[in-house]
Amino acid sequence: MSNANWILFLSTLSTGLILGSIFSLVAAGVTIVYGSIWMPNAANGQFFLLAALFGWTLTVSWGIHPAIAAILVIGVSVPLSYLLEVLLIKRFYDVPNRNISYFVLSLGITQILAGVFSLTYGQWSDQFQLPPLITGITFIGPFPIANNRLAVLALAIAILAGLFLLLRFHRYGRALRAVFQNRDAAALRGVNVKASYSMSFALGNAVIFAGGILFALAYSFDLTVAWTMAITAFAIMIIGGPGSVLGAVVIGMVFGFTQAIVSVVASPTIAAFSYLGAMLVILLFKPSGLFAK
Amino acid sequence: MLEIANLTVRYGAFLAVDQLTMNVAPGEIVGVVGPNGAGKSSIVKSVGGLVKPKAGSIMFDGRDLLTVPTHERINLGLSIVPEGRGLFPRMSVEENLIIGGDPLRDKARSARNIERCFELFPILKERRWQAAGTLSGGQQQMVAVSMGLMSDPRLLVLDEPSLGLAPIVIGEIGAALRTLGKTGLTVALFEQNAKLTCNVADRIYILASGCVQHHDRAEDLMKNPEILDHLM
Amino acid sequence: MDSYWKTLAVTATASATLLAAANISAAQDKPPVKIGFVTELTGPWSFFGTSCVAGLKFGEEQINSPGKRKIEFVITDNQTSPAQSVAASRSLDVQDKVLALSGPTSSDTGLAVYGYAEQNKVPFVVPVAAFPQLTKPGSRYTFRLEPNAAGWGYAIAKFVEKQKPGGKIAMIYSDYALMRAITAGLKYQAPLSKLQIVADIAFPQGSNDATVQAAQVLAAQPDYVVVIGAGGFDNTITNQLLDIGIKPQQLIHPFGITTQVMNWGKRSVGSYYGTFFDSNLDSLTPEGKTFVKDFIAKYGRPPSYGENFCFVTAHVIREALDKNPEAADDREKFRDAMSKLKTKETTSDIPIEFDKNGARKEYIYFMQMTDVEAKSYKAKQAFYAEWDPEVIPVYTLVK
Ligand SMILES: Nc1ncnc2c1ncn2[C@@H]1O[C@H](COP(=O)(O)OP(=O)(O)OP(=O)(O)O)[C@@H](O)[C@H]1O
Ligand SMILES: [Mg+2]
Repeated sequence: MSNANWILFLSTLSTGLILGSIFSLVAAGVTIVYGSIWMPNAANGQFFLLAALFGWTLTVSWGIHPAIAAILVIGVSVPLSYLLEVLLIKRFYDVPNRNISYFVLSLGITQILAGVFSLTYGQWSDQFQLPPLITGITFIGPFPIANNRLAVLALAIAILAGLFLLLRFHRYGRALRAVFQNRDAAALRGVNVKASYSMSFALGNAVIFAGGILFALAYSFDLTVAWTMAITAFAIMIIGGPGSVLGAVVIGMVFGFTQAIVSVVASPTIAAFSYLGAMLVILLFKPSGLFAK
Repeated sequence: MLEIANLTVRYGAFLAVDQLTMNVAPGEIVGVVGPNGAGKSSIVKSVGGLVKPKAGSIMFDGRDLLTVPTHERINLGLSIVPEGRGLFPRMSVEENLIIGGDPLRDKARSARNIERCFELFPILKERRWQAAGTLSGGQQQMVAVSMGLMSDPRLLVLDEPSLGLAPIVIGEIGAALRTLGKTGLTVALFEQNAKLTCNVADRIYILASGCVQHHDRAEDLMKNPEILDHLM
Repeated sequence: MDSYWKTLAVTATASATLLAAANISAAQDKPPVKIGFVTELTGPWSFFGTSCVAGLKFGEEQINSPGKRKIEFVITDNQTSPAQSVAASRSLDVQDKVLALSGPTSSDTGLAVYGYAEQNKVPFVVPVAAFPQLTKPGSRYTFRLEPNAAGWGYAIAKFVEKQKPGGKIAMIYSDYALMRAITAGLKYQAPLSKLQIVADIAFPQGSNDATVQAAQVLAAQPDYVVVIGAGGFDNTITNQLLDIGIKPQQLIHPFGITTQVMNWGKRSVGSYYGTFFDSNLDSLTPEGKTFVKDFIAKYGRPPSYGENFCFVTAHVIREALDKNPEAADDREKFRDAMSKLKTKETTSDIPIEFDKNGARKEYIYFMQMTDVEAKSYKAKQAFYAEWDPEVIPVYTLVK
């Protein structure tokens, strides 16, 4: 391969991995919440943006180091989730068709957050950028890659791995999955189902926040990112099978690589459409999603 | 050990269990037989805490179960294998068993119990890594019973373990239950299958339309099979 | 003789003063002239709408000096939505009975108001919206301060032609109406200027990463890279081009506003951006310098060309009314007053006059970034061009 081709190949790979892992995080967060409390959280994009904006305030306005800011942002998602759960989410736990109530509720949250953001951050700037975690450029063969990008990639993959290990091997993770698969049986086996709801809600949001802050560390963003991310995360969840974290992660990666590869061989515009096309085709053959029960 | 008195379960206006009284003594295997819709599952769910009875009491070892949240009942030594087996279909056999043993909070003991389950149902050892939802019905029932045993319960409540199984598999399950009975485990078996119940139980309640119609020792009932036939 | 003339002179002066006084009191007695200002206070474009209003407010203060008939801007939110813009225009027209409309800062909302204004014969002063069709032939009531975007593309070609004759240009941009107009102008003018376009990469809305495309741009070995991302993506593309080894001196941003320039940051020092007003220009008038100083004091950053155009809008309307007081209560007369207005930008002395379509004689500065600090930046003028709005066929190039 010539140098130019190597650069093209490696840039495609790095783009696919970074976008894929961020998509995976957000979609995993959405699917965890859906799988446990049946909330199709349309506000996920705004939560994602909230994390990014909060990171911006911490670093740019308050001068906190981005690494510490990232930890704070992910940390703050837990009390925020708890508050939201106590105030709103909890009230629907015993409503039979609560998924539709939740959907409407999350649309309301979306409107409120979008309004608040446009009246605050929206008047300060049209674009936001966080300082990098680390500076400098590393050459992989002929391909120069920003160290910051490598750091974000490493963190995203580490968080995904942590999430995977938690769900797979820890008793809390197992209890969450047990509730996804069979609530009554889980209760009979000693799982406190309501407590697991709280935990899934907090975990799901923490993962979305992680995606938001990592995205903000890797890319500049504006307020519209909330909408595109919300649609992308929903599409990934639906293709992967609602409630399936593995599905979210696999399809998230596929989406990331689709964006990277199709935009090279065809064009970025076609890449954007290829998602939706792929989604329609997959749903045609497997309406419940690829990794559904 | 388990004392149910005047239990009433309603679904809306529909009366599923009507002032039912029954008890299970330590070391016993008690059968509850009844046709479809008799109210067996309603009783089991009340004991498990999945259904809130309208009236009556359920005592377990002298403790009022109705004041104990569902998920804490297993810690009292009460293990329920619900109708439809209560498995986690996308988890492996082993993970299902691990969840069954989680209330012990003791990994070594849980691992020992898994080995004991494999002795009871050797086929499960082979299928250890297979997703529970992809097992055959009989194998799934074996996992269900095993999962019920994992927490070292003092009372095991089974809701219709024979459902959808071939006679030969039902026989296997029955044999396993008898083995368990001999170890001193107390069992409450809610069944439609009278033959299985008679083979396993010491005492049998016959249930219809939410009421106990008849109550006798299994040996005596077997001497008068017409009662059974008549009542079912 | 002497005393005769003296008396006459005194009488004349006195009566003139009296007349003027009468005029003043008449002006003050009359109700204020209302201008409907439909802009983006919420929604995706809210930053530009609120910035514009910030600029306008400075202008509004200055134009309402005592003794002049008050001009009042009725500011209305269009939620960055064309439909809402039309609804707001109608209500301002019918209910508030405004003399003219103004305000939108995006081409989408601008076109919506344009349609309403032309159809209902309401004069429409566009501060910042660059889509060419806003002054398409046949427009009668619309007057635009900002040069049209296809023209910017023309100017980029002129700039590169001067910098590097026969140069190679790569274009990498978000696929928005505005960006399409700019690149259409550039693509038209490039061969005429003997330049070669070696890459033309468009991103759809919602794109996040441009690393791969940056690699493609690098492989095309351009002399200059024209880069325009929408919103936050602008900065991402810029950084990723620099990451992969494109030099800042190769980058040309067709436009740069303050927040953008500061976000590009130190690593972009050396790159170029187009603008119509910049706090670093040497040619600012004293009024321009005061405007910059006051704006920084209030908002903590220098104003961009958008704020400037909104500021200037207030002055332009004042001037049209001062020269034609009878236009204050008559839309047709106001339209005519705007049409024959010959004035200058208050802040930079650049001439303002409108052609038959309401397009203005156009111009652009290309600035080169020289330093960036926390809340300010430095840049120097690298190129200036003026041109006739129809130097290239803008209205057929961009539909
Ligand atoms: N959730 C419910 N809502 C309404 N009616 C119910 C509900 N659950 C059970 N029932 C009714 O209560 C009655 C008793 O049901 P239950 O499941 O206890 O019977 P069962 O003895 O377990 O029957 P089977 O052998 O078929 O499992 C039935 O008539 C059933 O239709
Ligand atoms: Mg039943």
